[in-house]
Amino acid sequence: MPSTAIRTARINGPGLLTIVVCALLWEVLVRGGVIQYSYLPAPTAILAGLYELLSTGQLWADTAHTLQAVIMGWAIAVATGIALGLMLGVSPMLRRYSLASIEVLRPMPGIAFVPVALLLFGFSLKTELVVIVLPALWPVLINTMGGVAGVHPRLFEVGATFRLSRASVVVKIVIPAALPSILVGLRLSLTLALVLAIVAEMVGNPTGLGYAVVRDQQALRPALMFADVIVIGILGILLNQALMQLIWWLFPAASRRTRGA
Amino acid sequence: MSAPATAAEPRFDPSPAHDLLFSCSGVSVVLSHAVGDRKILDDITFDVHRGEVFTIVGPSGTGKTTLIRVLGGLTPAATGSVHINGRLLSGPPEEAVIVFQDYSHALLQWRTVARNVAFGLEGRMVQAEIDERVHSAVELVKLDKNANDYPWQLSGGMQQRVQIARALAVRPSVLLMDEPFAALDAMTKATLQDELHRVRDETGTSIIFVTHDIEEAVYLGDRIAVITGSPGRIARTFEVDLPKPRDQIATRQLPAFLEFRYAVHQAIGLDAHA
Amino acid sequence: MRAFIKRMGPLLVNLPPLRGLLPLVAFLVVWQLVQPGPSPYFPGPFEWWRATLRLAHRTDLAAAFLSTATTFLLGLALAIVFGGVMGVLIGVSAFINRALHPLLEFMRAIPPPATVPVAALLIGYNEAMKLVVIVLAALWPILLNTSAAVRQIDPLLLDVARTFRLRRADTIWRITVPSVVPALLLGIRVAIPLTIILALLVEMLTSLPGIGALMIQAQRNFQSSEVYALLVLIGLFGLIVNDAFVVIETVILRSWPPRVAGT
Repeated sequence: MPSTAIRTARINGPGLLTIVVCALLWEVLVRGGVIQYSYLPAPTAILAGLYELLSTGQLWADTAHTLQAVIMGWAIAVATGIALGLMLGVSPMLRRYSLASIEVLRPMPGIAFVPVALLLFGFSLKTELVVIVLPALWPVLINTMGGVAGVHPRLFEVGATFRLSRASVVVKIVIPAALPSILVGLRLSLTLALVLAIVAEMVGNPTGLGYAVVRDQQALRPALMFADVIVIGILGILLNQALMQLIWWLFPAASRRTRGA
Repeated sequence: MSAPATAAEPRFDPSPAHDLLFSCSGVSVVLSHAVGDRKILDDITFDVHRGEVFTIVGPSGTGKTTLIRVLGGLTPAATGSVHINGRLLSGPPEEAVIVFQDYSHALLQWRTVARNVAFGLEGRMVQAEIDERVHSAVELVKLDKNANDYPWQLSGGMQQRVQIARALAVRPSVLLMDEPFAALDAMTKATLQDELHRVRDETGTSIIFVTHDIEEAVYLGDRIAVITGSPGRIARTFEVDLPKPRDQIATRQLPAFLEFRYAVHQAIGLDAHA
Repeated sequence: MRAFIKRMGPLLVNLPPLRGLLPLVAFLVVWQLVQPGPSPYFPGPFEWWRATLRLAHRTDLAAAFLSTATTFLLGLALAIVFGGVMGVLIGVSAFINRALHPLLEFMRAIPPPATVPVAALLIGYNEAMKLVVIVLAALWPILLNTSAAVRQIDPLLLDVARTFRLRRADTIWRITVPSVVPALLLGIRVAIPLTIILALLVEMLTSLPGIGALMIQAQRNFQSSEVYALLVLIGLFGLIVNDAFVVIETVILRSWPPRVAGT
């Protein structure tokens, strides 16, 4: 009994079936003229659109731009977030004098920065970065702060009994102990960075995948538009996987402790 | 390196003939709470000599852990003084290392056994010497086959041995042990007790051992201090004159063992509190 | 009244110390001193206030704000109802869960902003489209959190239900649903910022009435003070919504053991 259960669990029969059935249904309804939505293309048309995007090189250019914005924005957010998070996590005084400000700024929707960024930087990469960095900073900062706060007090006493310097305690105890939490923050931040980049490209800087969706929508090319959306989804999945692989490669011990987060 | 260090070979000793390692005099500890101050320890006076196993036994809540922390320089004394090697204590001393009860929180779970043991040595000597000391410490606690394992892969007893190895690697004059075997099962406890004796015999390190287990205190100790009451006070100190080497079966059956055990019971019971 | 305040007291204790506002206040003060008047890039904070008054006078600021707010609340409410119900149903039936899981994961992977132009093309530039987009985006975190929580219910509780011979519907209503409330609230907490962003995005892309539309309009007219003023307004809105939700969550979760409350 257990062995058959394992085998069927690996290939999710019902799940695969659902997707196939949905796709078939969609194809049949559109091709058969049942659904009259002139702007709802059949799945095969979308695939054709994907192919077209790939072959004209438009896809690569758009993806490259969005990827660049995401990675740059995320990197800046991570560096700032970890630095601030460590400082705030280690010093209760600093926390007292900044936590309220953070709580006020945190709920600000990232998209609200787009008009400000446009005013300051116009149509440029900098506009996207402004939109990405501030909101993407919070998950990293908060998770780093939380990770530091979660370091077991016993570890500090171990540091004391071996008479480690304050800097050694931070580098050898605090950071490794807080690492799983910090890594969760990194993953949350990456997902957020992609969403913000897309938003910034839709209503801010007209380049990249976000703009591609709007462009193809306004040009009434639904197959291409759907294809763009799918590419964005795939990009999100790939980015996440890449980060998880990188984390596993660099910090095998910590990624084991982060598992499931 | 299995050549036993002689008792007269501590690390930082201005006068090698200084037999007195720790000297507590009139120490009391007061902790402040939101609702007021609470005295944890009162008028603690005792001496610990080089090379001996000094056990401190008493019921829970008497401040035993606090006392270890005072000796380890983690908690300041409100009154009185502690001298180590003739020097006034102010902060964690070089000659002492604390071994904690909760090994899983005290070990760095993200480091291997070897790297855990090396923890107190990093940045203080060349890598070759660190490796040598780690190797001998790990061998001493019989964990050489597990040097590259992570603590979470080991049993409780093994993890506690890692903590002991880590403490020994810095070659302290004294190990301050805070109920280190309380979280372990009886058989592991017995094994580790004998290991502790062997470690002391081979390295000459003194051991101050806090426990609430009366039999353990008698079995391990060369001298016992009984602490009772709230705030904790030392009710009695006496020598445990049992033959060496101690044996889990034989020693515990000796009439003298039972007498010492009874004496400790009495000392605790004399200060019966509600 | 006094009893009410007394009940609310514990909630206020969780506020961070007010002196933490110092960096923010100091920043604004310095800004005002360095650049007090209007400017195309960095108008001073007092200018923002003047711009707010201008906006209130010139356009229908209140109506725009109301438009954004009501769409947000309505969309969130619908997402909670649909997401909660669907989440429970999916969680309860292992078969439905396996069947829909890949599809749902696929839908979840698409960043919600990307769905806006799609919806615009399929549904048109109207309030219905705005609502559909918001509901769809807020649906996923709520649905997924709820269904995951249903599957993680301690089997012991289900055994308790069987011991008392409860009917399936009873079990769901009296055990399953209360057990997943914390997870549901966590899903809502995740959905809220997403919902606000999408509402504003739709308004910015389509100029449907709302704060987002006003903001983009002000930016196109290079009215920098108005842009900053609206930024503050949106920030306040986000802050109020978030804090209101925390209060509601705290009140609801009072009966739950502390450990299951979302952070």
